[in-house]
Amino acid sequence: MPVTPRGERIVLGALLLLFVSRAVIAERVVPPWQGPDEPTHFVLSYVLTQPPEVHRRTIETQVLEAMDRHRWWELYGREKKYPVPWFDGVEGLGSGTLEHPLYYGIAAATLTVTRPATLDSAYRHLRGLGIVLSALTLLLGWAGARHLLGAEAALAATALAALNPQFALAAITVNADALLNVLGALLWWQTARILSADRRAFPLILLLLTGIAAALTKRLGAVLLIVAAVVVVQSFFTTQRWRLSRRSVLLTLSAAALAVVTLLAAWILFESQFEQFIITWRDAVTVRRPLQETTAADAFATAGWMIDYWWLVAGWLRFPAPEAWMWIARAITVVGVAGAAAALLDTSGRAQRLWVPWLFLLSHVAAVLAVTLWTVQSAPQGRYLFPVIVPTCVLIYAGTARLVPAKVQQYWPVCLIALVAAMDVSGLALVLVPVYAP
Amino acid sequence: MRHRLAAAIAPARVAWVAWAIVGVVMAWSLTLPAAGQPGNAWPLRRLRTPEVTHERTIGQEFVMTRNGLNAIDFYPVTTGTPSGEIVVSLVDITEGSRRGVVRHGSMRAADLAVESWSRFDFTPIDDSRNRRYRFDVTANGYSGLALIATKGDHYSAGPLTFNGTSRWADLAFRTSVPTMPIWEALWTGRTSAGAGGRFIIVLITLHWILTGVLLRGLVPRLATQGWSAPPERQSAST
Repeated sequence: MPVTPRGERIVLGALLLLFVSRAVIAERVVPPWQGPDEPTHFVLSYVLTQPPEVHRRTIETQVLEAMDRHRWWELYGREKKYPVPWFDGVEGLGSGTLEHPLYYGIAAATLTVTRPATLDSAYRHLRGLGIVLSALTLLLGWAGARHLLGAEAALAATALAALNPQFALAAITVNADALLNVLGALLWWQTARILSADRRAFPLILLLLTGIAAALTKRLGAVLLIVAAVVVVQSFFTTQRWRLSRRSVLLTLSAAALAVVTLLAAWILFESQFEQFIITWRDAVTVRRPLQETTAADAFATAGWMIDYWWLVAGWLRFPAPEAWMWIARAITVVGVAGAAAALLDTSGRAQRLWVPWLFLLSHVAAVLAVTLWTVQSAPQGRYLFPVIVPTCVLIYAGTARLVPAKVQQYWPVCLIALVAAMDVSGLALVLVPVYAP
Repeated sequence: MRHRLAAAIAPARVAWVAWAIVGVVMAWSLTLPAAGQPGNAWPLRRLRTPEVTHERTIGQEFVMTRNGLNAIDFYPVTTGTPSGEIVVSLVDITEGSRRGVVRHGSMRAADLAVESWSRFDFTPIDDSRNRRYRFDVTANGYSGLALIATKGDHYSAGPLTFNGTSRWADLAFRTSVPTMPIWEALWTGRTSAGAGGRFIIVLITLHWILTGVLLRGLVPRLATQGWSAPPERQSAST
């Protein structure tokens, strides 16, 4: 049946409304501070809205009091240490800095506009910002998939993303993830435009700017910068119109010179922050565990955890979905990814373009595995893959659709989406409500 | 064959059925206990522990999710003629504030239901929520009983322990608290985030309606043409 753009837009609108409604459900059920690392990120945003004489530690104390009011220690399974001294570790607020300033700047600007009366209100406003950014992520993700693979894959993949329970939790988490997710989706969209449309110059510039913005949002954002570079280089090779002229050489050299001057200026004007930035990045790439100590079993186990965390593990990684639920989620993921890998062998039609979502997904999986196994050794949280959530859902959808027998293929999209919708609802009842309400 | 199937079951009808199934799952979800309790009733990869004796203590660590813990079920099976007493205890091992043994009891091995769930009842613990416990089972001699466990990590918040050492397994166990169905809890209370439970029920219903709109609206656009079909021409809207 031919696509009718108006009808498609209506369905897309319903899909976004569906996502917002479930994000609001999560927001109304999950008490504050239940997202990983929220206190640190909130303080860094909130402090920018305060007069200079308000010390950061004052705000941290207020945040600790708010965490106490919302039973954080009880839900974390620790005895409360209150009145709270200054302490480090998991119970502290960490040592966040502003060397990746983009999210904090946007969050502070939002609070300046919304003018919250209390710290609790400010927290809720930033949750609202997260929901808006996440809905935008879905919209941009849909646009990219639409350009690259057509209406069917775009709507199906966006529906799968919108019904992912962990993505709804990420949407109400006050941290830089929501902004990085939007930038990932924007990059995906611009990549699709470059690869499938005639206009290239503006998307290429936007692509690089998005990559730079991602790197200024979070360390993981550097992966998007690398993806942007790969797409730019690939586009040079696949078009006949890019020729090395004197003008383009001059423009390139000018841009490079401007970048060097900007870096030098940043170094001179913000010396301490710049040095902290360098230290952060040096730490991020310092291998702390010998490579030969990592076994294939480690890598498989880590990948397995990543799948679980991608679907549903709530509250600082403490409340996973029941095992039977998780096995369904694992099966969908593994079958989808296997089918999408097999689809790479197809030489015609839309399958040819699946290398693009694969590039987005594999770059992020590689980064998460590298960080988890060799550098920071943190948990392989599925939220780290949310900057590429729609490309990932494209692969899951395409992979499962490819493996379904042809005679029932027309029913498969609705069945898959209904299955994930049922998992979403049951996840709410099996995990969030029992843990948090009432 | 494909045409016969398509004629017999229109995709739109499948969408309605799928929507109804989502509704059934939603309704079933709302009848679940509002207090999700830790436990492991996984039916696959079962194993028998060694016989419970005075030299062997078999335990299971778990994190309690609700207040009012008042019983623990376990699953004994015979290894011989049941004799002597089974000694059970609940130890609070919450990091940073261990309270030691908080409940203790014994029962005649011959009186225990075997090949089915047996229950250790005790005075409710008012502040059991989010505390880590270990449920220990031992005996005052040779009991003639073993316990059912499952291989692997089906209950992820704590392992089976054998004489205090963690094993890659979980005891078959269930915990009990006074509880009510989710819908009733929402209808009569508020969430931890401060929202009215009835508002949540309204949102969940809205969620279901929108799911129906989505599924039904997707049907004409999801008649997949297979992955060898070329991508459609782009619309100007994107």
